[in-house]
Amino acid sequence: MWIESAILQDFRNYTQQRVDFSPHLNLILGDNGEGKTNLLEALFLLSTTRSHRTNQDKDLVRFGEQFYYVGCKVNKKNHTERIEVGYSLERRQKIAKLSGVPLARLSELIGVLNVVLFSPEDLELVKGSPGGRRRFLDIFLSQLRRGYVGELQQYNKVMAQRNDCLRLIQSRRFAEDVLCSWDEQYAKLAVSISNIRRQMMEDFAPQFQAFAQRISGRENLTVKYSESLAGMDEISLLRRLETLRPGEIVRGTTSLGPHRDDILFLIDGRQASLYASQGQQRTAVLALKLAELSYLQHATGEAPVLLLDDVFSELDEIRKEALVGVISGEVQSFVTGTRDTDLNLMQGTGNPMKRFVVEQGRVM
Amino acid sequence: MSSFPTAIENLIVQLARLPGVGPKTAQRLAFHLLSLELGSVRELADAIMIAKETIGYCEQCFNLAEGNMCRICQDQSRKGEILCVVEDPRDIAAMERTHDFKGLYHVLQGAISPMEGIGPDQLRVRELLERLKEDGINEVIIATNPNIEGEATALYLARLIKPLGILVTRLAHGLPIGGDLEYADEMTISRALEHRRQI
Ligand SMILES: Nc1ncnc2c1ncn2[C@@H]1O[C@H](COP(=O)(O)OP(=O)(O)OP(=O)(O)O)[C@@H](O)[C@H]1O
Ligand SMILES: [Mg+2]
Ligand SMILES: [Zn+2]
Repeated sequence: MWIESAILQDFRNYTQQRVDFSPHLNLILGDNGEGKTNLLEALFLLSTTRSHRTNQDKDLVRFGEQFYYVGCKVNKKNHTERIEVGYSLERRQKIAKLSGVPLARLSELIGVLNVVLFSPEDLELVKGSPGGRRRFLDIFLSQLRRGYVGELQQYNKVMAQRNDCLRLIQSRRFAEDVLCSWDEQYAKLAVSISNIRRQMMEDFAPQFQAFAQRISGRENLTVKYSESLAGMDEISLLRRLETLRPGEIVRGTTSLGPHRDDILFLIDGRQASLYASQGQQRTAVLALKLAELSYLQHATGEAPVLLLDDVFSELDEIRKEALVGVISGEVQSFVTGTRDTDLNLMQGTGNPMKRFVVEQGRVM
Repeated sequence: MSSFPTAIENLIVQLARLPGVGPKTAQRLAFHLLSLELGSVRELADAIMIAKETIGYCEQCFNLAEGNMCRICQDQSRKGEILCVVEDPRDIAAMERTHDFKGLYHVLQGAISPMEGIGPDQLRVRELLERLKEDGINEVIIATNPNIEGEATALYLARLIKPLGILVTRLAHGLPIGGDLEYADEMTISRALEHRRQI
């Protein structure tokens, strides 16, 4: 799939902008702070309904304005689709439309336009907090499977209710038997989400390893799903929750479940979060993104769009070449850089490309 | 601040407290009311007062009622052996529109939601259990909303009621998940009622 064009209105530092893209390579050049990342952010939002940099839509509304609007036209194998997202600051309301039809839930948009984003923040993925790695997993899975987001939202709601229930039991305002009604729903959702994650990671791990091998040529870099439920089914989870209950009531939090999952990177079997060098971390993240792209392409039958924000300056020649290998294929890509970024490699791909210069929220 | 006389300002504030009414709508309504004949305004005010003064809860099922008992509980033709448990009187209206259900109701007046501090003690659960002990009820259909709070409430009630030797069923799926019973159409509710499952 590829993005034919996009419109940004009062989004970040853009007032009113329309851009027509190349189906292959799109180079977005400009000085610091001119609006390159903002453009990629808009495309990411049209894919996932959310920004990759902030949880608050009010940050995305151009200073002094009341609404933002972003839209794009996506060219898919057999048809085109128009995606629109708008947000009103006053009403604190975000709405999405798919080819003109308003969606009852924002999450129905996910999976229409698939993107893989690689930005400098991702370099923290290996050594950073587990939350960042779960986020990667969730965005990946939400593009892969319709219904995953809904299930995850449901899970988070049930867990929030369950945690409040634990606290009310602790303060003796609720009797303990109220918990059972939440445990049953909790166990069903927790096991289902763990199963989805486990199955996907089993398929994904070998592909990750292959990319890592290709990029680095030597390290034995692998990835592993570290599952909080460790393969438990509903019945064994319910039993386990019963033994954990006294402690959970004291703490008022749920101690077991997908919200405690992680993915572990291993170098020769050792935890990369503890031992990986800068270069090894870069290899791991690059392999992760390239494997994600290839996995999505095979699973959905269409290549996702690749968004590369400022990463070229972070990679050495070998890693750059691995990336260019992908870009030269049928994947539509957006690559940002400052004017002096070495993009010579790009020129060699032979694919038709388009070059844009961004200046103070205007694309030229 | 506003340049309206205090009485109008008060009226706007009162109207804006109503659900779904924002400041702009409240202002429009207030000016509309002022433009009406005195008689029409009095009719509206009386209707509000009379409804408030005469409508209470049915002492048997906690549906809305004029007097001690609601119309459904008073209706001798309804089957007393089968009880449908709902969250809200509006859900009874939705069920009644289908004309498929001939039993009696019990209104919980909410659903279990720890986040809002609502547990069984805040609902009409104790009254339900008392009804089940006395009357000759042999089936309870739990028609709480198909969202997580409604589901938790259904599971909680099933645990309490099953040991009494009463059949407990739940409306079948087909109801929009995460939705409200009140907004479901008749066909959907009819089908859900027909395919109710044991829990
Ligand atoms: N809500 C907003 N309204 C107006 N301007 C904003 C808003 N949010 C951010 N900006 C502006 O957008 C600019 C940052 O844009 P962006 O992050 O896209 O820069 P960039 O081109 O990617 O720069 P770099 O090369 O440093 O990464 C800043 O000048 C910032 O002040
Ligand atoms: Mg940037
Ligand atoms: Zn009644």
